[in-house]
Amino acid sequence: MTTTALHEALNGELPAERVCTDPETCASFSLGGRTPSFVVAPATETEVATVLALACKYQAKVVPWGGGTKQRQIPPPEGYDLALDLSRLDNIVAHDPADLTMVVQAGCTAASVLRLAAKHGQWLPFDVPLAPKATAGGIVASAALGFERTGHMSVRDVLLGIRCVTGKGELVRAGGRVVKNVAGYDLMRLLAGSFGTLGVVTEVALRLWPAAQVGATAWVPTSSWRDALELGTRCVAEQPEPTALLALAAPRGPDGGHDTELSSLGLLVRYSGVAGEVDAGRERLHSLAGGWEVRWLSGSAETTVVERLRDFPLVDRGRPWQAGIRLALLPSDVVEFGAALSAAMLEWGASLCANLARGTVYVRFPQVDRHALQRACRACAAFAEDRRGWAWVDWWPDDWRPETPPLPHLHLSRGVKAALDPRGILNPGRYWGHW
Amino acid sequence: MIPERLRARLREIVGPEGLVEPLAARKVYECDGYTLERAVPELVVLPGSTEEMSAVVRLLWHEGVRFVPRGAGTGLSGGCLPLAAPVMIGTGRMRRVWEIDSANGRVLVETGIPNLEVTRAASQYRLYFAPDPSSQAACSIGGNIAENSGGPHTLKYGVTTNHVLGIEVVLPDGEVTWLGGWVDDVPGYDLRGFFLGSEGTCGIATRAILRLLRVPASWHTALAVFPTVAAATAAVSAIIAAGIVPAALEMMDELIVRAVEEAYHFGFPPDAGAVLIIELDGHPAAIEVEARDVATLCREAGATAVRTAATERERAELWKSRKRAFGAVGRLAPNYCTQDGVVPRSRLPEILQRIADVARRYRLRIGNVFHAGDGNIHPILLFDERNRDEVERVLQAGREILAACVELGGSLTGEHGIGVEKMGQMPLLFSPQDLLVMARLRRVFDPQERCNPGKIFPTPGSCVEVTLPRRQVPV
Repeated sequence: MTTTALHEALNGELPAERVCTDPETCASFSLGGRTPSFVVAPATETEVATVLALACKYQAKVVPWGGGTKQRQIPPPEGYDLALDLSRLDNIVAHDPADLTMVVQAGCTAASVLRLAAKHGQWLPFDVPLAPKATAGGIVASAALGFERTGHMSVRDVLLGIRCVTGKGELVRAGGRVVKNVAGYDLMRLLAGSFGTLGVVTEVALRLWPAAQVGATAWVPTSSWRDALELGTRCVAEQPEPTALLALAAPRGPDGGHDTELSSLGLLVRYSGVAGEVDAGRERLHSLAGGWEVRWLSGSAETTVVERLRDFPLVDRGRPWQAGIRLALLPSDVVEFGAALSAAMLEWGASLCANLARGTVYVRFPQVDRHALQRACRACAAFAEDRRGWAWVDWWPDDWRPETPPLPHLHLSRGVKAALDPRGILNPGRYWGHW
Repeated sequence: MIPERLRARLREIVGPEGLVEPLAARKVYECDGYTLERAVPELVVLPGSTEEMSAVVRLLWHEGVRFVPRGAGTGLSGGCLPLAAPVMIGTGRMRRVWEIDSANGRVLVETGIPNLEVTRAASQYRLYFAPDPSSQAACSIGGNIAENSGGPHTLKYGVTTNHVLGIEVVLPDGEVTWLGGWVDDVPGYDLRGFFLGSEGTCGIATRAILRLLRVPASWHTALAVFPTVAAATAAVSAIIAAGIVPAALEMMDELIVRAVEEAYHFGFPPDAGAVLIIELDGHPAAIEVEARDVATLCREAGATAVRTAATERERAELWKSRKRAFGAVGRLAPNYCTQDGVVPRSRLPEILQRIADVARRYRLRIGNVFHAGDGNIHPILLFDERNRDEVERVLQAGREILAACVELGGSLTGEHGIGVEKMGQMPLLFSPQDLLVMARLRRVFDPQERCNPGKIFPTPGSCVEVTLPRRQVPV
């Protein structure tokens, strides 16, 4: 690829202001020590297709960029010529409150989508980490998990349709805007969680839900993470089920210093729905909590705790982690994980947060101690493998690649990659190093 | 013609009980619920396990023989029609429940098991499998996976894809692989999600890990009677706008209500223009409030009566009226054909008006019984197949209704699939480029397009010349 040739081609096809080569701007899109030569910010879907068609022609390596909050969930790119900044694609294309559907462009932030939905008494699982910055495209590309979910809902379950551009610059759509639809292949789910390695999401159609009428959030400080997990497991077995259930052990702040805040060890329980249901939940929690003190939160105290737990996968109180592992387990194995490994993890300097309804555990490190991190990776992988689960690095250090366990059905996935991005221009090396 | 040598090798793999050879027995497999096209397969193979399935498919792959997977054959779009493929492979002998993990609400089953059997097996733990197509007593989990099936309760609980965590797949070359697994959020591409709803064109599902839900603590089922369809759709909108998501929200129009009443005497007022069946479930405290609100909203929209099922038996009666609607329609005309289209919920009044216009223009009687909450319509077109002119009008009217659904922002199919029936209309929804990319993805799984050839994608020569409407089948 000649940078000059691509630059000329981009300038020929796009309005000049779309392409930025200013070193400072480019530096703000750096990843793993690599800085792109251009930042291109298309304003339309057609422009996205133009950029990718040219990138394909000149074999330029492209990193799609939404809010930039989750770039470290996958390894840094192995080549990086062009940052594709999608922030200008920020239109709400349609919102039909009566149909409980919304169509948004990729660059819309989660917070703006949630705000608009809330105005109409509606909700969707976009309560993801750093919601003010995170974008719809990024949430879909990373299959980000929200803080609160009724039942088992995730972003994958509310995707009704998608428009995206492949690594060849082809504009493709699948699904539609209606809540029930089985026409054609489900590219929505294929793209969800593909981290921009298959195509660039430009627009998504989403299913909305009525917002809960009331909610109540409790913080139960415990003396160990295991205690929090055990209490959480009791809560999840009872009706009404909590709509958020997270156990936290954050003895160290992200700066590595010791965290003595009482709210750093315990269980967050939230019930939401109609008043009677939430009242029943409150009573249930008191009877289950036994000797633990149940603190019902409101106002800024509630916001602080909720945001801390919501953001935990990426940052703690505003400061980013340096490395992290995620486990996807059967919910019943989370308690066992606490019993078997939490002491060692904490000793190695990790902070821990578990979503008990879903079986997700985040292990987060404020500093990179390669030795400790490698041991933690191996221990988590071995634990998950024994129990039908998965463990993988999902917060990558800037300058070092830890071992990561093998991914499933690699040959089929490779075929899918070749079908959608045959020249490998999208996020090269970032599918856990396989392509 | 399948050579005897190949038959013998297949017999070795599956045993004599796993081959269906006599013509009379093979005739059963000539079509699914879409009977417009029929093709008797040259041979039907019924493997008894994943290993046998894999060996059968591998052998066919090496021999270059095309094949069609089949579950229970209850599909409604010709998805398992053995067109352009001599061998049919059925999952009918694979019906085992391998494991129930009641603590985590998971079950591992073979895909030939009927949908309802899964719920039966889980009921001792007060768990159930949420997707409930009307054919659930017969339809197989494998078929549900292939079609991404729905049912009346999808409004609140979603369709099959929301409840399948992992799928063991025999790929078209015989390789066995797992897509997804026991846990949520497996890293890597969600090929499980892609495979779901691919209508048997990417391989054969042999086992599946399904999510089971807890049986709701309580339920409330009500029937509301309205003077007009417009009033009933206004009630649907009002219920959703009030922030209530019922477990089911089903509508029957005047023609259907009258037929049901004449056949079964449920006690519907003879002048009812439409009825709604509304089911709520969840925590008793929530249900109590929502039930009261629903009744008020229905009355405000003009309901002349709102009846609540007080007992499990009355609830079953109410559902019976909905599920028997199709049987009752048989009294109105010798034949009928059911369409499956979707519109945004708020466009229901428009599509119902369009259907009424179509009925008038084509001089047809069309009844409506449908999943109102999802905007998933099922117009029933009545006709007499001996009247060729009427048959032609029914076909044209059906196409026009689907085109109107797409025009109003909806889809060609909400739950029956494209199969062979709607291949020709795919360009209404998708551009040539969309379809090309989908076809490219299909070849990742099946480079030679030997698994269920000639389905979903409109390719030259594969289009079925539609000359007769589909047979009458319940939705």
